[in-house]
Amino acid sequence: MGLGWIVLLPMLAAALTPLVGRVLGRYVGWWAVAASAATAGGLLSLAGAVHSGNIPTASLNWPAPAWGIQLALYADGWGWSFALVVALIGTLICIYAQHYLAAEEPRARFFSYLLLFEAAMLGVVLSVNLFGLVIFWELTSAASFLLIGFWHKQERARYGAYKALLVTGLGGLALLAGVALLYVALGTADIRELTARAGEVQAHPWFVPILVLILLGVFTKSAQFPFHFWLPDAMTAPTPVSAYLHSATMVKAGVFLLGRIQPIFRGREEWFWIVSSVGMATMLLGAYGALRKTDLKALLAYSTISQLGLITLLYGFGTQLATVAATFHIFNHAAFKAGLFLTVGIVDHATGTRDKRLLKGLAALMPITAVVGGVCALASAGVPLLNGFLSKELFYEEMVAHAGRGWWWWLWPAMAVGGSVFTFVYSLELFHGVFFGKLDPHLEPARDHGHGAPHDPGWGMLAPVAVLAAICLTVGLWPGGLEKFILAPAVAAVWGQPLEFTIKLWHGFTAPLLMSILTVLAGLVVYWQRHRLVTVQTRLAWPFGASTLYDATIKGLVAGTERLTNTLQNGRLRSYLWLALAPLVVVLMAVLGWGGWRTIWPAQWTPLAPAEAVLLGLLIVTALAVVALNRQRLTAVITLGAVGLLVAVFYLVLSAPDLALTQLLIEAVTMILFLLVLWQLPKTVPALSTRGERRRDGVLAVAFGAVMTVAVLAVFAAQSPKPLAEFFVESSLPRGGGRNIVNVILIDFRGFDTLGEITVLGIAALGAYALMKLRRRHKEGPTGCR
Amino acid sequence: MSLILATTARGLLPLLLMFSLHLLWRGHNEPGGGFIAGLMTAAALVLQYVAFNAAHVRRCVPLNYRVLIGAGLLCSLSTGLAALVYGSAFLEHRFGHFYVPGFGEVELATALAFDIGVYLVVVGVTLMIIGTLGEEQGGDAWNS
Repeated sequence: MGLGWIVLLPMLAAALTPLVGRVLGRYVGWWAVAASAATAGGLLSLAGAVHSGNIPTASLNWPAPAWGIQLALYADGWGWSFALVVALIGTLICIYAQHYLAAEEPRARFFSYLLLFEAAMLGVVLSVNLFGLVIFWELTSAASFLLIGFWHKQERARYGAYKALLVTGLGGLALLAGVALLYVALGTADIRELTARAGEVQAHPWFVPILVLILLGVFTKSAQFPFHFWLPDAMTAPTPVSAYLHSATMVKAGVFLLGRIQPIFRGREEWFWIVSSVGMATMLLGAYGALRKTDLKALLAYSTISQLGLITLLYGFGTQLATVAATFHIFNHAAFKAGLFLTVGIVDHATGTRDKRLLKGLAALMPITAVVGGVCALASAGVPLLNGFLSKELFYEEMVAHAGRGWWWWLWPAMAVGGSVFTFVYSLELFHGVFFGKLDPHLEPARDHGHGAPHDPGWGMLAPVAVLAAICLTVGLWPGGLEKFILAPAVAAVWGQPLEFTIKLWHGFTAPLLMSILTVLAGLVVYWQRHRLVTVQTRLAWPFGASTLYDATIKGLVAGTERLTNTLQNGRLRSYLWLALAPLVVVLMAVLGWGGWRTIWPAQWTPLAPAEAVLLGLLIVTALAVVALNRQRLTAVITLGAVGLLVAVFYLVLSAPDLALTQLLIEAVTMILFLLVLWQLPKTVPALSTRGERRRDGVLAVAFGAVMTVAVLAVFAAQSPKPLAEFFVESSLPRGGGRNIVNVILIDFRGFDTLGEITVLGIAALGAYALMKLRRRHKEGPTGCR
Repeated sequence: MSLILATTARGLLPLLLMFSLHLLWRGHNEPGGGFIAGLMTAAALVLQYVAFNAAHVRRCVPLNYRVLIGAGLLCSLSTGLAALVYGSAFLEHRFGHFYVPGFGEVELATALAFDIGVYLVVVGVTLMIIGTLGEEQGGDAWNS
């Protein structure tokens, strides 16, 4: 299977889902499962090529190869392994969602969005052209918006969707700006080439702006401090979406890109300080914040923020060991966090609540869920024999080995342990808190089953969690398999060359092990005393956060826009004309300049033929008549038509039959349009303006006429040595294949303009149609112009 | 309704439509083209609105103008996209000369397909605005 199909297949499947949904009905989820599985299969079939270093590529000469903008894909170890995670977890999520969604939900729409996201995410991780990557990046934001807002009738869902879109969308624009700067600086947007020329990038005077802009994209997408605040609100999405987009894959696009660009940027101090400190701050803040949340999904959101911070921190260190640890942890986190989200979804489904204060002792009622969910929670806590333990050990090792040489050497390791203690505590809350202890008698009966006590769900919802739990366990016990198949090629691609490393369960009594033991002991103490911790946290609570700032900004923007719109669009035709014409007069006068008057005056004049002179005279007289007769509407319109006809005759005299024909037809059609409008208006125009206003309008009219006259003269005076007209005359037949130059210009040379024009025309007509239909519906009389 | 106008309008309709299609076809080489032909077709139909009434035209020309606009845009856009499939740039046109029995050598250009899109949009837009405006006035605006 070609690499292009990896992205195209889910994309096509997404487009076809609504049609397929009509046939399959409520089983449409299986269509999505099949598409995801086929994509995963296609990726697996590329494994041999990727492992042997024979990187598969595919590219499309589109949309603008001349500017370096291309959709080009390549599956190096990093892109391929990430894509495999996306497709495999996507398959599991589709199975889960098929059983999770209630029967009456619009399933086809859900799975269509989900597949669209999958395709976009695969595009992000497989893109080799950074512009192409940005395109897919924005597409994942759009898909995320649609999925968060899936239950769009809920106010909170809409709020969360907008928030996510605005924050990640703005970050995406910053990323685009960074990539564009990089392209201007180096002349390429190809990641392979940029990596090869990393020295040049780092020595470039624009290095810092490029880095900051790209990092803005990364930090917003991966919910890094201070842009973390959109992620908790994104939890209003259906739980499979939270598991897939907002923990396992989409939010990882940021850290994925960090891995991609690490070889280009690492080594500079700015990279280390910005990336590591933001990562560390996010890790601590997320882990601390998670403990305060009572809603289990909000808790998981903060924990995701924290874990992403950890990965960011490691990429910021940029050493070999850090690269291995970060890359390893991305895969581990994807497995256990997706499993945890799905477990919370099961619990929510069965009990109708996600409040951790109500959920206790569920193991008695839901034993299988407790086992599989528990494994994921323990992996998250970093308990030995599970995958989370291994990556946490590597993290500690890196913190100790490369923390720094000053007196503050202990700072990084201490903060690492601090963050991990909080992580341990909230993971234990998910495991011990939810599944053990005394069952709360107030647990409501299930929301949609409606009968009996909460119980284990069917296999469709359990199996995906079980698979993820099995992965956590397998990797924890036997890291070698994952290491060879996925991790080694991924790390080699991120680092730039293959690295020698082995991940071992047992290192001997080293500093990392001691730190792990310390984490577990401290974690148990904190867990035991967690009620006190919450009291302290409540006392320390900061009333003002990034989210408050966001809300204030949005409110201010909306109010400001409203005020501006009401001022500018006040419904008075005269003020519109003033707004449009007065600035134009000022700008044109500034451009032409008073002093440049002489250069504007044409050096030579073409003599006027008698017929032309007569026509011109007639035109002027008729135009004046329009002004004089404007009180009588019908007369004014007919006189205006006469002006149009004279212009058409003028075109004929100047031998421009196309223009003349167009002008004639337009006149005919416009006349009818005018007459239809006049039908509604009084026969004479009432005088609505005062004498002073009319005088002011007159001044503007005269000034505009004068400036336009000067501008036209200036255009002729400033004729370039080889006018564009000659090009069109020469190349119309040989290159456009037509003798009618006007037509060839319109539909071939300037075809893109024409496409834009007819689009505008169509939109304007739809707008006019809507206005006319709406007016009838409201049964209002004609409003007229004031 | 004026009898003379109605008779003339009825007789003129096929002539005007044929002429407008002729303008569309020859536009690449002689005065004409999608925009002009579209206006001509629209004018021919507007004449029917003037001579008869909206209901009559609706019956004779059962076109949904909104669909017409969409179809036109789709036609022009897909001409541009088709070029991509053949490895050219977006909207790059091709032309060639073909021998058609009974007509002799005929030039066919992808530009014509683009122009047909323009034609459809212009017809749709004009008739949608004028037709709706006329109907909004109780249908009487046309024949009073």
